[in-house]
Amino acid sequence: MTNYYQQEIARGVALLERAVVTRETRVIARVVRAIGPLRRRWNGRQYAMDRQRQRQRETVEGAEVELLPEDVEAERAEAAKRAAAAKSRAQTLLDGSGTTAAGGAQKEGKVDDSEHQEAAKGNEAVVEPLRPAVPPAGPVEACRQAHQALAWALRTIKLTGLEVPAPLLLEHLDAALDSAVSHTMEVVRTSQGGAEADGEVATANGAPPSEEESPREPAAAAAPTLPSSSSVPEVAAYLHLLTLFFVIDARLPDGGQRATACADRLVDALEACPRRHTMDELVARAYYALTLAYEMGGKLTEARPRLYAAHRTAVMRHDHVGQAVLLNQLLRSYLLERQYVQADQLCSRAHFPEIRSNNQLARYFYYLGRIKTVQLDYTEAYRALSQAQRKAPQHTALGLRVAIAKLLVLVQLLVGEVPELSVFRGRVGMSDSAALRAQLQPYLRLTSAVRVGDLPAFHAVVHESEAVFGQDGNLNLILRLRQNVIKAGLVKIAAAYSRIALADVQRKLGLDASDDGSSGSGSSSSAEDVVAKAIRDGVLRGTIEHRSRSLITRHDQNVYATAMPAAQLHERIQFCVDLHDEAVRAMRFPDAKRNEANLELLREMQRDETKIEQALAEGAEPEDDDDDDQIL
Amino acid sequence: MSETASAAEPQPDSVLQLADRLFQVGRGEAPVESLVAAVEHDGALPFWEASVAAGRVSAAVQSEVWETLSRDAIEQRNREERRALTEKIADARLHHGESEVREALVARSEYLARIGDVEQAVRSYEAALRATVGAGQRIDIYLAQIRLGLAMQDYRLVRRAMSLAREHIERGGDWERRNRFRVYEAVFVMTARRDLSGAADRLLDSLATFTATELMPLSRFIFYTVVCSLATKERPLLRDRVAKAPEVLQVILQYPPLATCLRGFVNCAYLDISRSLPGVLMLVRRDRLLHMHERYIAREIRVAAYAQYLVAYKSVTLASMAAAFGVGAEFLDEELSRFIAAERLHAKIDRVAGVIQTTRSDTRSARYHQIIRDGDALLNRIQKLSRVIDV
Repeated sequence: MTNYYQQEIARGVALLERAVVTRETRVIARVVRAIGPLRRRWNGRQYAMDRQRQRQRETVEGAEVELLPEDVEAERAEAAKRAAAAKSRAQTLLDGSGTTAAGGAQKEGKVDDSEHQEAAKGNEAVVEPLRPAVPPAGPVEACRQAHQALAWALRTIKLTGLEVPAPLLLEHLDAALDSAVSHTMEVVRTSQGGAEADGEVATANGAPPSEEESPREPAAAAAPTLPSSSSVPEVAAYLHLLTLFFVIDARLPDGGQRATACADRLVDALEACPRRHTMDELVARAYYALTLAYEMGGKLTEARPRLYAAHRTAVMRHDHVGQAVLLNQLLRSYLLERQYVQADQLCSRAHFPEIRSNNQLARYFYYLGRIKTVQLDYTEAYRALSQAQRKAPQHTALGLRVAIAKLLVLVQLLVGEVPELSVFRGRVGMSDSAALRAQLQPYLRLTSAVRVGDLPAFHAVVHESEAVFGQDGNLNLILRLRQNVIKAGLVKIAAAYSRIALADVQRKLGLDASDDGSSGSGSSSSAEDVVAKAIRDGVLRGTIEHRSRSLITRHDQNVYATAMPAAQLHERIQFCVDLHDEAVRAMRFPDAKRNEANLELLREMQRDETKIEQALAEGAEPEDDDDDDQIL
Repeated sequence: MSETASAAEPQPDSVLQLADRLFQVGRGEAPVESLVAAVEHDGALPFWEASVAAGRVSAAVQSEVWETLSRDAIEQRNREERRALTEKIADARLHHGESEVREALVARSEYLARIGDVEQAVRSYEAALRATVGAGQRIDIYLAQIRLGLAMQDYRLVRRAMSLAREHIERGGDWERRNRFRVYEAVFVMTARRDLSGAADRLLDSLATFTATELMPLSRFIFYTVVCSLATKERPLLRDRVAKAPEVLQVILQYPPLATCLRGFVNCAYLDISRSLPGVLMLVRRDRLLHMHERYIAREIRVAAYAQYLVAYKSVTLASMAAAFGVGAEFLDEELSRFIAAERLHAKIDRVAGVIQTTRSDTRSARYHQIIRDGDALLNRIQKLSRVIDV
């Protein structure tokens, strides 16, 4: 039986060899990109995603109504009766007329059939159709297949292009296999839960890991072939990279030592060999894997000098992909250790290259957004995060999307806007919207507290979900929101009242129990300070009449008297124009494969739209509207 | 339960009544014994089990019921009944014609619906549908499924049945069924989508031609109509179509608080509105299909009352408005500030002087805000399209 991974590796190697000769970097990029799905299969992510999608489908789409068993039988009985009746009628006709023509026609039909069958068989014997191998059923099987395939590849090809110690890699693989298998079994268990998982694991284990091809399928499928030797360094790098990823995903319990050792070896080998542009993608991926390995080992800072050196090289050689990946990894290493100043300096000095990979762009914009938020530049942060959201993948990468969404919510709150409820609901019909919703719950509660301007409630929410916020690294940003809560409360007061005593303002805002003992004695003096600051900041439009200790608001109804309409409309027009420019720049000659991909995308969007419309037409379930009652 | 046969008004479905009774027991307004008696009488064990599984029953009630319920007897009876019905179907298939088969299938489906076994009932109805030819009878089956869904709070079933029924009715339903379906639709949007305005429209349209008594009695229909209209409609409509409607007048005295509230709106007697609102909300709280919207309804009626009062004034003192509504000035201040800040009322309070001034916003800025809002929605969709632009 052909191993799915064997086929994929063979294809990858063949493509790489050809691409190196023809200098097609895009093909190499595609091969490197294909590593992602391979990894996902053996690391259990694909399995988890599929199960989630299946669960979602079961709950959303109404299943076909099947009949009760007795009715099914009754229908079958009736159908049989009707068929018998028809046959008997046909028989009587035949007997009655007894024409040879009718009988001959039947016989001819039969003869034709058998001829056709023979012809088909003959065809089968002549042509050997290459049947694509079926992807492995579960992640455990995927692990085993991958291990088998990689070992076979490393043994078959004699790699000379790069200093790759094949036996060492084989040893890494074997060591990693058990750990990988146990890790994926965990994943299967958690994503399914309970008895089902054991059953599946059993079936996955049931297939004995044999090195020979099992005689189950007929030998019509052609086995994938690998060249016996390859002097192309790309191929060696590709195999080494796959091995490295396997080791990383295996999550060995040795504190990442094996992974870092393997990664070091790969990167050393890559740095030593003479580089060509065809190696760029692979080198970039190798650095990515290096940082991953180091991060797992907790030694991220040690990797930094290396990354810097590589970045310098990449810039010199105009290696855009490498530049992008390395810059992202460097930013990530800074952000993980909260070194925002350095990260900011790096951002401002190093220019992010223009590449086409959306994923790298998404990462870069997210990091940029984070840095800008911490540096109090909220408008830039908002822009960057919106870009990140647009560039992020739609169906995968839930973690990134959730992180972007959370930060976006916070930035909007810090600016003074209230994010829409739909942000917290996730898109209708998407398989991971339930998980998204669950993760964004604390932020939803936070938003309602901030929007209403309710200080005690805000403190309660922060206290309740402190752990979650801390884990996201957002706790300090959220503490900044206290001012926003007060601001929101003041805005509401200003909207409702044309004149109000400051003592009442204080009471309404909940500033009585303020724990920062600013000016403890005067009851309304602290409120006066707060209000004065708010007016100065432009939050309210009004004046304080000190004598009567009251706030007088001036309500500016006519928005057209300000420059705001112009600015807002300008922003939107700018967006449309930019989009148009991007679209024009991205026009290409029609290419069958790309058209197919785009068509698929468009069809998917249409499906999303119909799902949205359907959901809108059908309406949400009643339980969802509970938090609306907090509006007033 | 077959509307075509009986000349007298049919009673609401027993499973609907059962659901109501369960709700009342949950609120402590009906004794548990009555629930047990009803379940035993109908043999509705699946209904009970489904309600428990969905978490609609408190632990105390659960334990009490399990003690007194004679489970085996009911199960036995159900099995026998089921067998009898199945035999009847088989018998009909052998000896009688298609219409008898259909009737037997419908009888079994109705039985399954009555005991509250949703899954089996839907499958049984499917078989009955395949044996049914006439559009009217098909619609009746869909309506029965909607009723079952409403009783068991299975909104997926309701949605599905409603879309199928709507198709058939549009293609060729008679007026009676069309009107009846409109009532069903109204109830669904009212309870599941909290769209009281849409529900009120449909209910008012069906006011003169109400025949859907298998869903609810006339009094309850009027109750829903009046409550939804009070929450969402303006005074002219309330006066002409609700307060003057003979059907409403016929029934409204059964709900005194509601009558007072309606009269208050029509006659601008705001004191009556304030006094009767708690009573109205009590009625809403007791209703299985509306109780979850109680706070929403309370808010809407209050906003409507305040808005109606303020229409007449350019400025009014807090004190006199409070007196008109029979509430304290402080309470009124709180309420008004909340609603004004949420842009439900167009006014501003001068707290120092204790005066409320009404403001009229000009339409240009409102339109500008709407442009921005709709434009943003459109831009979001274009943004999705921009995904196509890339490798």
